[in-house]
Amino acid sequence: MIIKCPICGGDVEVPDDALPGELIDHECGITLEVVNEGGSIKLRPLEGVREDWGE
Amino acid sequence: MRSLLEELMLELLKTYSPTGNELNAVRKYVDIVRTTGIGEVVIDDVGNAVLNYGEGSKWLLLAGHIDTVPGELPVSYDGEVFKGRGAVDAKGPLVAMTVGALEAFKHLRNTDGFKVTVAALVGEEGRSPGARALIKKNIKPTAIIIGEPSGCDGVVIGYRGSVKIRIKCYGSGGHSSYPEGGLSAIEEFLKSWLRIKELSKAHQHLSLGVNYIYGGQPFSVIPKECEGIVDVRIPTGLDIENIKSEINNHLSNHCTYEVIDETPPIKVSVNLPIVRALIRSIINNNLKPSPVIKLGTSDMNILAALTGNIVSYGPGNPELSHSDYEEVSIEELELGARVYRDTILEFLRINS
Repeated sequence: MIIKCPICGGDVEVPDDALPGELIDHECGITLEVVNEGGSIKLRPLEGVREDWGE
Repeated sequence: MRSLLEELMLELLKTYSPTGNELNAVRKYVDIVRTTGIGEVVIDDVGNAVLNYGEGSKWLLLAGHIDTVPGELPVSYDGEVFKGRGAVDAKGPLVAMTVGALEAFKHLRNTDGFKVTVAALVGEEGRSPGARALIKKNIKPTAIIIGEPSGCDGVVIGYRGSVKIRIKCYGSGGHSSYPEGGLSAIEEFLKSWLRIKELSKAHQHLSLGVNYIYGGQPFSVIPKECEGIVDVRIPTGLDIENIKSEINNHLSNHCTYEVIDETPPIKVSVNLPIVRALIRSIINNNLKPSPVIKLGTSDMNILAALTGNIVSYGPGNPELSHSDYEEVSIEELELGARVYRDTILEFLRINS
């Protein structure tokens, strides 16, 4: 399915079997999170990538 | 699942295996995995333990490491928590990925056209001879999961690169009662280092540290030689060659430098099939996946040369890595094993 990017308005291809919580990197540079709002699949910007030390 | 996790984890923790001394732990791993009768497990020519299952052009490699940093710790398990060197980094992830894979194999048939390999690599805390041997063999896996602690919900999509540089400085000698009359190699090293250190202010997420320094002698002589090793960690987006060149430009004229080890940074997209399979598996185990960029360097940086379809994951609190407080619970290992199992099955489903 195609959903609009909430940041750039461009098309984002979301797999039909996508689960809420899945992540998608969009070509505009944003990472989006799949969410279920009232029974329909939406996209929202991911709140952040964690950083930690370690090898 | 729990009894095999407990046996493998406890036996590996009891078999201390600092980098370069992994053989007994590798043998123990092979012996225990063989008792399951699933797949074929061998020791390869550099000492890695390798468990193979199935045959086919689609090949998933799970790569953990069996060596630890030096520093033996008391080993214990009270039925809930394992303690000991490597509990977190990275015998916990290795055990979870091995048991998770063995569980997945029960759902597969050899004729499914897929091959799954679990590798317990040697030397990751050193110069990664185990991973580099796979590069030399030029194997062609379709995807790789690296086993390193990220927490049960952490999806590691990037690591910084590293460059280790040996700096040698030269002085004039002379009597140290008159230091103005000569040139001190130690002072030339320190002058260079203080200038080099400033580079971290110019580049976000670049870090530099001195890991080793040696120079002078315990006599009244102006130091003629000083040598140190600088550990540089490089984020994605920064050019390694430029950084090396900047370091060279900041050296005193009385110093030389030599790169003794170099590993490029890596960052992958969450859109990759293996990352998606891992994320779906974490969600299906009732956790919220959390993408992570690591400030260290791992075999992911090296093995990315085999395929860009790569990610790192493993149970255990990464903040305990290399500390004297390494511990992981059986619940974390079980959850991690389920995530590995489901990731294998999900990846094979996506690619079927």
